[in-house]
Amino acid sequence: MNPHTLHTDRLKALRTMILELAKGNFAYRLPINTTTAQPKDVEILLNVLAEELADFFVYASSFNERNIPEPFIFVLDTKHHICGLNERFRKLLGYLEHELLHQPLSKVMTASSLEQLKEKLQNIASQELNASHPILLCFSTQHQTLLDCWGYCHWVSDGKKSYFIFRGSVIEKRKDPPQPPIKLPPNRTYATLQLQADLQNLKRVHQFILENLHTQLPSLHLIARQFHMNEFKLKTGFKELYQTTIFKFHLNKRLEMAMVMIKFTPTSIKVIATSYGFKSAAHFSRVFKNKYGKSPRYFKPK
Amino acid sequence: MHNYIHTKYAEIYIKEGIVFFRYLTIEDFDEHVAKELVAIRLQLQREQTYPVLCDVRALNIPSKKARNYLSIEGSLLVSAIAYWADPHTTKELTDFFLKINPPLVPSAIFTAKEEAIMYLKAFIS
Repeated sequence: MNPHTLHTDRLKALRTMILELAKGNFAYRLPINTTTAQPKDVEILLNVLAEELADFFVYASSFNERNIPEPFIFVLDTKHHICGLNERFRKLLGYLEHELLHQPLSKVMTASSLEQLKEKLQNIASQELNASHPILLCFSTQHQTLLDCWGYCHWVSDGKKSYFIFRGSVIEKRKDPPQPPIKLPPNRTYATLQLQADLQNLKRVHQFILENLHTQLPSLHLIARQFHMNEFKLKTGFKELYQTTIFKFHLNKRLEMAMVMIKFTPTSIKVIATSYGFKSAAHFSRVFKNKYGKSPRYFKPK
Repeated sequence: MHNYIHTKYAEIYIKEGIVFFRYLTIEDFDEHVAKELVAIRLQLQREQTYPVLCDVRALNIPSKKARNYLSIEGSLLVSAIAYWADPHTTKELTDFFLKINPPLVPSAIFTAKEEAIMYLKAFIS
């Protein structure tokens, strides 16, 4: 292929990518041409940007409704077989009940979605019982159409058997034509700028927490002052953006870091507890057990 | 005690107070790979904290979850990271990733190994 054609093709691909992002299609990826010596940084950067935007928009906008109207519900056993479902779930997928019950989830879920889900379930099963975890799923219906869904997963156990309960809804695709532009009130520009500033501040708070895993956090009031936000905005904004509260996120991250240290270093549990700002080894063991269901000692290599 | 590990993902060794961590080309760099690499490095270091020279010249793009994991859990027992990148291929990308997922320890990008080592020497304990 001559260099001019190659250049034109590349520009065309870049334009398509920008257009897809503008349309909100964050799943689109540019093919990376590895056969040429042409720099491929821009293609890779755009793909990474799409990945970041997808994460940000889907999570920030979808997972704020706890009360899902008419949710689908289904239950999985630990081998990922469907062991319970409601009528809404059956109708969405277009099967009869007996065609779904006791069937592997792979029958109705795309391979990539299933792979991601299995990974997530492993993670959920190592966390607190009954907590709800935001989740994205892609089903393949009986009519061979793809159904993107969002919802929450709960891990429950009766002491002998464990189950994953899912409740969720379909992500509605916009089919209506673009609406005429709405006239904004005069202070709207300021409001938008304010929102951007708040988002950036919340990301800074997130980083601040990560940089302070070895110690207790200051009060919400002090964090809000440090990042020039009011306390209410800090509290609700963080929850909306990261699906957890500031203090829960701080505690969970400290426990996750402690878990890695317990599993892969010979450092004593007492030292690990102190280095992550827990008052005592006993206090650490208690909150660790609350999260992982077992004491820290259980995970220490023998 | 062993201070050299070679896996299909990386070559890691400790020399003169610095961990040398050379990524090999990883086709599918997901969170599992990131977890395995952090685990191996921690086992090699035992309880010691070291500065790390991270050779990313052959590195493929890690997934978002892998990047998140490396920036947070990947900072465990690390006092500083110097990324050794190729000026024509991986430098811009490494710079981009560090801005999106900043590690929890001081870090910098270099295109010459000697400069990277020089930077890390200040962090040897």
